[in-house]
Amino acid sequence: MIFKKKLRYILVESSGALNFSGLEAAESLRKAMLGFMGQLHYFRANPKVVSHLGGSAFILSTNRGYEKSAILALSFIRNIGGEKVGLYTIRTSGTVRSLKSYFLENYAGWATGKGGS
Amino acid sequence: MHAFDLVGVKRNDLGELPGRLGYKKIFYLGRDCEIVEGIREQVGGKGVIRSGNHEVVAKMLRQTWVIGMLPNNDSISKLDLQAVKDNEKSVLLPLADVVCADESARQQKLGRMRTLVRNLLRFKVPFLLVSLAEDRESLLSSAQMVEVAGFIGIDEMRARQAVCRLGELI
Repeated sequence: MIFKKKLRYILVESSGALNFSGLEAAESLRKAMLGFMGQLHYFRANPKVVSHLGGSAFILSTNRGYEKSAILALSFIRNIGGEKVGLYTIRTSGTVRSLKSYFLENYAGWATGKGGS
Repeated sequence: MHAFDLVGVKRNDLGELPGRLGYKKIFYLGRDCEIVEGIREQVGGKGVIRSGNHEVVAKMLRQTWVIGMLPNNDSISKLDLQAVKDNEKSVLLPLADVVCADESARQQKLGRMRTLVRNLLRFKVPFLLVSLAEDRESLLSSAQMVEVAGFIGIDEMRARQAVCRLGELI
């Protein structure tokens, strides 16, 4: 039997630019989600940043069935890397491609790095 | 169904963000609606009463320009809930207060909000979900509003209806 990993992807926009090229923002986000979800739930959901789009949008993956918990945890996060931030869950999907095409359609100008309001 | 929200942020700060967050329109405190804490006449648009005095609440809920009431110190007495129901108004549940609270106060606010929700559902009082965010970082998308509502005890279908009803009232 082959067990295929089933993931759910969440398009998240933050109120300020997040620099995922370094490790600080990703680690801070991980710790914040761990704090809100707890170790057991975090292990089961296994949230990870899979793609960074534009200045303040990114795609988070979770195991299927735990996307609602991830959305709830993101709602409570107020601080990443010592900076005040708000994380907005825009859309969920089963593929990264559909979220990227949604992002390109609706966030005109962000793909070129001009940022958004 | 289209989602709506009521916020305390300045309109110029948001730009095109409301559309991306899943709202058809965001209403602004001070422009579309105001919070009233005592007995007075209508000045601008619609109003929402917030008071711990039952007589003030009962009198203001009879006004046609008042659409509902906000919790006072995260709770509403059963007399006030009855007045809301009798006058066919709604209770507005501010979710940003719960989500943006400090760690020390969050548990208390969550507990009080759950008690309020339990009473609203038990007495079948109509309610709306709003964020009442005071800054950009406190905003919530429509999907997040439904999830936070589920967290405090409102089922998904009712939460979706509650997020969409504000547009009919303002």
